[in-house]
Amino acid sequence: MRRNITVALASLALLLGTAGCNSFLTGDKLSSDPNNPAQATIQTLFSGIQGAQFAFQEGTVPMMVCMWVQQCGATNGRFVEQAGRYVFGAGSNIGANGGDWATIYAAGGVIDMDTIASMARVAKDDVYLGIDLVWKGFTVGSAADLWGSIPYSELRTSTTPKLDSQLVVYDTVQAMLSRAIVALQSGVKSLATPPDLVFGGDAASWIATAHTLKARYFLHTVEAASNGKLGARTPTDVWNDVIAQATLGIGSAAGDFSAFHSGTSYPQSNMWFQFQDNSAFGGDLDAGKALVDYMNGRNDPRRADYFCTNGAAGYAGDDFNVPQPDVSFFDCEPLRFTGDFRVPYVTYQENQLILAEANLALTNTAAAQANLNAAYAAVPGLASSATGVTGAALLDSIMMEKYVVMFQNIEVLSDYRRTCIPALTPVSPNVLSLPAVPGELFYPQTERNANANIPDESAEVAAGVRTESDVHPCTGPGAAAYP
Amino acid sequence: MRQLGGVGRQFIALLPFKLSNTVTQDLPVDDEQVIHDAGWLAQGTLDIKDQLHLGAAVRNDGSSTFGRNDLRSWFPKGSLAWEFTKAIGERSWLSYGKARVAYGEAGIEPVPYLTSQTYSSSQILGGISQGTGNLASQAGLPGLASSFTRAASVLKPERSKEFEAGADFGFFKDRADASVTWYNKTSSDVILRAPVNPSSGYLVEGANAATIRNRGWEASLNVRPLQQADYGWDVGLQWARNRSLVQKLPQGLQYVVIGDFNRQIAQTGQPIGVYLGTGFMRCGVSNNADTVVVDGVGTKGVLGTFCGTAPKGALFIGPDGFPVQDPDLRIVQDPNYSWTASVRSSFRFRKLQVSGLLDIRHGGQIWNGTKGALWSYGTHKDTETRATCTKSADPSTCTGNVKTFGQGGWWDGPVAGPGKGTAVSIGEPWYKFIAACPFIGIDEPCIEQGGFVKLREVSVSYTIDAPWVQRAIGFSSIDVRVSGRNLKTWTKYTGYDPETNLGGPISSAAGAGGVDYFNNPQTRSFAFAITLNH
Repeated sequence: MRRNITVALASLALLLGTAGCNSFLTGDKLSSDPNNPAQATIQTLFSGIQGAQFAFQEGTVPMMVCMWVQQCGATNGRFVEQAGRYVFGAGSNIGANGGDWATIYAAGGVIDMDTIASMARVAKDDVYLGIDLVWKGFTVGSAADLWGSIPYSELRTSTTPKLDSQLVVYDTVQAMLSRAIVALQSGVKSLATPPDLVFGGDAASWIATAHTLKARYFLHTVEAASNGKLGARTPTDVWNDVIAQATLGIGSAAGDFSAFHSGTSYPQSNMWFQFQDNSAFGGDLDAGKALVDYMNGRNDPRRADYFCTNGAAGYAGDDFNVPQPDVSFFDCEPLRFTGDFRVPYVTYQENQLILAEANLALTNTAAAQANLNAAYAAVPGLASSATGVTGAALLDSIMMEKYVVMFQNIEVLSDYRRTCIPALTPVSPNVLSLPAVPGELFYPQTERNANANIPDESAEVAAGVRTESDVHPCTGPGAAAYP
Repeated sequence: MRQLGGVGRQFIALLPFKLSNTVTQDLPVDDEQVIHDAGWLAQGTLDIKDQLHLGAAVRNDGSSTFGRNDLRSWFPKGSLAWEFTKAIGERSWLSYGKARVAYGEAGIEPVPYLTSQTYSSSQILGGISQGTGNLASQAGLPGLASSFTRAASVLKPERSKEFEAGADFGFFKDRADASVTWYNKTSSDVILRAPVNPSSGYLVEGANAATIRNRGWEASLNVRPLQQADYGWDVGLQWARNRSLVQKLPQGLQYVVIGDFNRQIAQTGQPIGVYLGTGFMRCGVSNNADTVVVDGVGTKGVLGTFCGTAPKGALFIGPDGFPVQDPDLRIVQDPNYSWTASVRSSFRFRKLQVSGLLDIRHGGQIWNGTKGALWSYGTHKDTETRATCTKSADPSTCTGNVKTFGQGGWWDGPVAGPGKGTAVSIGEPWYKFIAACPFIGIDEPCIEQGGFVKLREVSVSYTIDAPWVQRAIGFSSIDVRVSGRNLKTWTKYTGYDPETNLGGPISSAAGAGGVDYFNNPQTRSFAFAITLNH
């Protein structure tokens, strides 16, 4: 009996003793993940934000926008065509662009841009900081373009950040780009040059890009100014700001802000190429009739870069409302769809066309014609001229050239909702009975699920699926520019 | 544990099956997990007069995967059983009786490293569909990006507490036996990758995120009416009912996705695994303030205007005669069965034995995405009869195959709205641009009842034990058995098999069942077996 008691007491002591000793349960590969690094350098994070934002600027959103403005068409009834037909809510295969939203904020997005900025500030490298801020301004500005009001000011202070008004976000982006310009102009460097695939760390190129971006985002507020939504700021104030910034913007095609893709593997390639070459859905996307017809009409030399020829060795586009036979696809991988093509995001041509639109709005017709001619001149073999074109016809020429130039670029949606050019017929019928081309993306369910500040999708439908700066939707042919 | 692996895509030549024979290769998988567990168990049992059985145990479990402050936890359990027939004596009809209760707690450890904050070089950033997306490393420059997973600040073991009570009976000198059990199992601090709002910079966070209760009954009855040396017959019946309920989620979180394809979720107040999808606008279900088009020229109104006297669930019909998508998500499917049962019977006559098993699943719904896709392609049987349309997406250009929503066997039920009673032609615009659930995202047309009765197995066996067997081959006997599985299904489900699930049985067991999307049905198999007994 005594022996049994001794064994029991020894066991209890062992039990309690071991329960209190946790060294067996902690240690190097026990307490921390051996598969992934716990630290990242500023250089590796900078590469990461390029990878993520290249993906965003060439991913689902520009593909959808391409279809909405009918530069692209679609077929086969699967998610590509459905997105083109305005099926893009939380319940759709696009899932209200939850992945794109994550690319804005999460890995390779704002969270890593903020870490880079902190590191650059600690190291007192203003050039690094400035480049990072241009990327961040472009990213946050793109999000405001596409979703309208977005979480921003409370990102680091609230687990459920409120939505900042789109116009407030544009102000924030303007301030961010101004800080970037000041930092870049200081020229203060202390770190190794960033692994900058766009400009190789060249501060002057980033300064010019920041100015063009500022012009772009001023331009996005002109419809709001025309409708008294900017307080004392008049449309003329806005146009003057646009011209002031674009005048300092990208001055030649050599200064274009374009992606860089090695094309050595799919995840390091142009996403438009990846989609054609490595997904099962590339053939669902085809050329859009509105763009092809316009380019055919003036024998545009860029067609071979944009589209494959059809069965008749020509170019033809599809129409969501009246499906067309024998249309052009992208499966032959024309220049714009090759793996190492540098997809343009912000360019000299855009800068000239921004200037043209602003000069025309301020009735500087000659300057506007010169700007448009400069944009034309950047396209070898294009036999178009702005000389003698005035008024509404000149605006149409400016915006249609921009419509061609900005193929594969999210900016076409802002251009369309501001000017209602080209005269598109919205897809009808569509399951949400939207009367106009969607002016924004729905908020993804992933954000709504954990953030009570996100409105229901039905409320977004009731509000017309358009952003604050898009005061009047373009309902179809005949809708007035700048209403 | 260390996993090394590689994926090659597109063979260059048919053989060999080597990575070097592929056009492209994914990033190699090199994953290491080190987990230390340490547990202690103390257990005791006590029998009183061979009729009262008591058991008690306590565990102390520790795991390196828990949070730093919660490395160890205690888990008690106990049971009590009383063979009351030993106290009251056997009756002519009751040969055995036992009442039992038990209570136990158990812990589940999380996957490792949920408490580590890391960066990743292998996460796919952005992308349009499978096969697209970028890595953080670009153009040969090394890159990292924040992990999508935010490190858990606190992580305790998931703890389940289960109480069960029941009784076992033997009747008529073991000609029959029966058992009934009631159980109530509550899992608290359930470890999930709980979603966080992506604007925070992360997508998920490992967390003790849920409390889930499972409560139910299990009953069985086995009867052996014929028991003779030369022949015998027995029948077994089993019945079970489980009700799951998600009782708690982290504050501010609407749901946690547990599905691997559809948005099947855990949501407070709902059974586990319901599908948060989309449907058509319905009175009393959709928001009365929802915007609807009220006439042929696009005038806008609100849903509530049309739902005044309509019963709850009435289908809103737009001015064109078709139902309209509700833009808000709602629960459209509950894949959980109301109850399950099985009937097993076997008959033995001398050396011949015939047995069969019937499985029954009552209730539960299936999302038939296969049908939705085939509708879109125009290859489903339903599309054989269809309208002729001059524009594929515009129903106003269709003629023929006329239906009216809400009547005549076409979406029968109450309807409301400006287009109620309007006859429409059902053709490509309906099947491809409204009803094609996997591509449109309106799930309602694809939800079907998933109950079934299935002849799970029939087998016939014969034992040959004549003396020649021993003489000829040196074995005492030969069993010859022929059996067939999944021979026949009785169901209203229109797909191939109501039992199928895209995520397979593991996904079903986790609560995310009822997804049919080009997955294989249960196989029908036939077996012929010869067993040599020595």
